[in-house]
Amino acid sequence: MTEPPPKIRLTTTTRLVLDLLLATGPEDPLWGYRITEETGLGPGTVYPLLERLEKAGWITGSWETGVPEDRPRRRFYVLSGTGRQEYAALQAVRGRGRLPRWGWTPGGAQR
Amino acid sequence: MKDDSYNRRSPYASVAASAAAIAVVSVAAGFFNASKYKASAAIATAAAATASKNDYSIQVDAETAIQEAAEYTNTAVAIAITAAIVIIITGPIIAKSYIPSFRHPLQQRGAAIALTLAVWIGGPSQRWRAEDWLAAITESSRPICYGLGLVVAAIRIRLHNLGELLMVSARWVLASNWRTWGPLGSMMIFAAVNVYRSQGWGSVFYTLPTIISFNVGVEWLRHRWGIEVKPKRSAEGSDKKQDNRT
Repeated sequence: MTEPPPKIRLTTTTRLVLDLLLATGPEDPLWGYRITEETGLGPGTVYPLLERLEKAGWITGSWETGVPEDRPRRRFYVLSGTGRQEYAALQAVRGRGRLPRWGWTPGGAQR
Repeated sequence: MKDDSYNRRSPYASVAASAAAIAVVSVAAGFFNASKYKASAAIATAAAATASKNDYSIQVDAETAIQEAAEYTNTAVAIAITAAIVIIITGPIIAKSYIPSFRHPLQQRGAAIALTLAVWIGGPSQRWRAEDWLAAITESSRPICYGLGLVVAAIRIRLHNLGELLMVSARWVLASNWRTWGPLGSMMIFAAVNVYRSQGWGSVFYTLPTIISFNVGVEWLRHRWGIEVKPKRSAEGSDKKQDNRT
């Protein structure tokens, strides 16, 4: 039996981290500590989330090239193509769900 | 991904070994206390029995009980002390294989212990994260707090992995009718027989809603998780035969 990839739920925390990853390019990669600093989330929240996103293939992690003298190596995280696609799709679904079903729209109902 | 240079030597292995030894000695103390209470109770019983009935046979029984309690105490203490010695000797060796050491030792002992604990909780599959976590603690302005956060992260990752394992097992069970209804059916039959023996046929009738709700629950879970049940081999065979005929 083939196991389906882990399902990612779009919680506020997940969106915070994914938005940050979307905003930064590959030339300016993010690592665990920087994510905790920029999102204001604790490490107890960020690292399990990064683990789930990496397992689901939404982000790719890679070690910093070279060995810095003054500190250990960081692990950089970048949003993958799958991650971008899936995140956009989930956001679209979420956006549609928020439209009022019976609300009045100026200019008539357009589907 | 994994880095073996982090598994060389641990300055914190002795911390883990000491903790384990303390735990064993505490257990020994518990055994000792339990035995002491048992002996005291036996003496009290003997004294009371002798005083009230003037029956010496009861006193003899009590003396035997006291002797047994003393033997029990000695055995328990001997086992606990042996176990503590074994752990003190082998603990650091075992702990070294689990707890990594770092090229850049942390200045703050509290942060180092928190990181060691986080890596230990994460288990061997998450040990490669140690370097990233150490880098984060080094950067952090509040390393002890950050280290404690990493302990929480390790616990959450571990629990999530455990949950995933349970989900995989549940999916495997639900994918086959035999695996699902074999244990569930036998359990329900056992419950029905038990109800019949204790309360009669009338009560057995009331177990029917439970059986129905189990069936509905299993089908709902299969639908929700998108699990397809394997067809029976005999059914597959007959289908193939029919296809061949047509």
